[in-house]
Amino acid sequence: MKQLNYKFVIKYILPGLFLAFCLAIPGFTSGYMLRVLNIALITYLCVLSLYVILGMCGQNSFAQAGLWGVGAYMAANFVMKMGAPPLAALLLSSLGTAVFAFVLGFAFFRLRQYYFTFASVGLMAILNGLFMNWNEVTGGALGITNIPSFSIGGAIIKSEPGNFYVIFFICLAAFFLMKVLFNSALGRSFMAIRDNEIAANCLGVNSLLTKSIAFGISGALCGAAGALYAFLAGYLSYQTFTFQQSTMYLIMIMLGGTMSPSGALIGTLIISLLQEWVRPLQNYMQFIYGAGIMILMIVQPEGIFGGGKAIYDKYLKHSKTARTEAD
Amino acid sequence: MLKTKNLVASYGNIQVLHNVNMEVGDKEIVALIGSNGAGKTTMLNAISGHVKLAGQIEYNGVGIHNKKPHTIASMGILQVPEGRHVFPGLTVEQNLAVGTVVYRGIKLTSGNISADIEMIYEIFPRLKERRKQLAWSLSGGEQQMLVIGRAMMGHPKLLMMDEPSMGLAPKIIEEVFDKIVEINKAGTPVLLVEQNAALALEVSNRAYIIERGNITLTGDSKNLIEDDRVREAYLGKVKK
Repeated sequence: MKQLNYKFVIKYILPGLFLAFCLAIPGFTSGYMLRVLNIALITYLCVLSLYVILGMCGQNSFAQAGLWGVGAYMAANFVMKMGAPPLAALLLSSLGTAVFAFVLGFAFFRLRQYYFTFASVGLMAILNGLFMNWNEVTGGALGITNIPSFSIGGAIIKSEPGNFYVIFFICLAAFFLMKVLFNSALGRSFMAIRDNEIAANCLGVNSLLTKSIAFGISGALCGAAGALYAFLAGYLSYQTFTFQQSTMYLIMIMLGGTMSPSGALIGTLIISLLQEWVRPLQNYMQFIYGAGIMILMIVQPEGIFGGGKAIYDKYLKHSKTARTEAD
Repeated sequence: MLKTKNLVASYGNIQVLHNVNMEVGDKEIVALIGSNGAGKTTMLNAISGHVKLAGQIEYNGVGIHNKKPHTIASMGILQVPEGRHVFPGLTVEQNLAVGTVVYRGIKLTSGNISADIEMIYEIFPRLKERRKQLAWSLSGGEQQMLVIGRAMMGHPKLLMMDEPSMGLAPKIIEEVFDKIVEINKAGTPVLLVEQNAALALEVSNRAYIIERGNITLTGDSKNLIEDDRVREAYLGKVKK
């Protein structure tokens, strides 16, 4: 009898089942729940951007919600003022935000470690101020309303399930891009900087350029998320893109585990869905997050996914030694 | 190949190097010996561009004294920093792979580097046994080997090593120094900074002795070993 290969199950069959389950979600969920999931998936893109800059490159940024807003306002302006088709606007705002972050990175990464974090807090404040006061572009305090829905070619995608599939596939693409990035020379340079910047410099890694590229990639993800949000929500208000939101992303990735895109997904889903399921406890939510993160950092600093992976590795090792002993 | 002329370096108001003139030729091991605080590490950091300096550094006839660290590294001058700076969160193989950034540049592909990695495993077979292990879990000697191997991945034209013996057991130190000689025999010049003067003089062709930022003595290593001043200051008292 051939033994069931657990590694194969975990590597291919479980993700396959998960994928099939995701594709089937719109079949059995209410419109409201789908909207929650759509927002959660958009949030996932932002949390993924934090994975690039924090998990891979080791630079903590509090400006991700600001970049998200930059992408959203860009997309709204491309569509409404310049008449660009939504698909083009999505790509352009993603690219635009990437360039925006990349150029800012060159200025910001002259600061090291937590000084960059301080600078990103400042950037967040400035961006929020801009969103609130730059009437010509962001609509000021009134925001932008009546943004058309997403469309590909001539087909307008207005329904919640349609939007779900669009956002889901973009998230899937982003997920696999992260996997490619992780295995690339560029990703390795990010991680080299995270682990030991001096040594990385000695090996010829240009840390200023490399960190700026990481910030640029995180900008591209945030920009795409912003555009998707603009098309989904139909209106933009400066109150969405706040420092609070940036902190939320940080909590999500810390909860799931900073070291992998899957961890980011777990963290995002848990917090997004928790917010819906325990609405009666809303007043205590901040307290629950705070206490939860503290306990998690003490008990399992690598987050939920990191902890799960450690247990799985241990199990693999255990079963391997058991098998060799049996032989 | 590498020549410094009147090199002056200082941290704030404190001048560390005073008009240092040094030379490293093709294919030789040059040792830089001195006590704590003599300016050995500063010397290496000055060459690799991590310390601001006055004076001139020439590398194959090109001035590199005002270039950025990564530019200098990409010209082939690779430094193995003091204190085993591995990338703790990466595996041995990933650590080695980062070393290729120097001549391959930043790319989105993982690149075909298996030939280079095999070359390193040939020099350090111990690393091959540990190739999937995270770098933090290696022993001190293995980490030192990894760091040297990682620098070798960049095909250095000049390898600068800062205290490769620091914190290692005597037996491991011997092993590491054997490898350094082996690497040098294969054609890479080495600039070696060491506190362990006896060992450094044994493996090197030439040596400079640095005291409080000044080169006080220089010559062939085998002559320096016999020199009374060196013996008294660095090798223990002269036996009669």
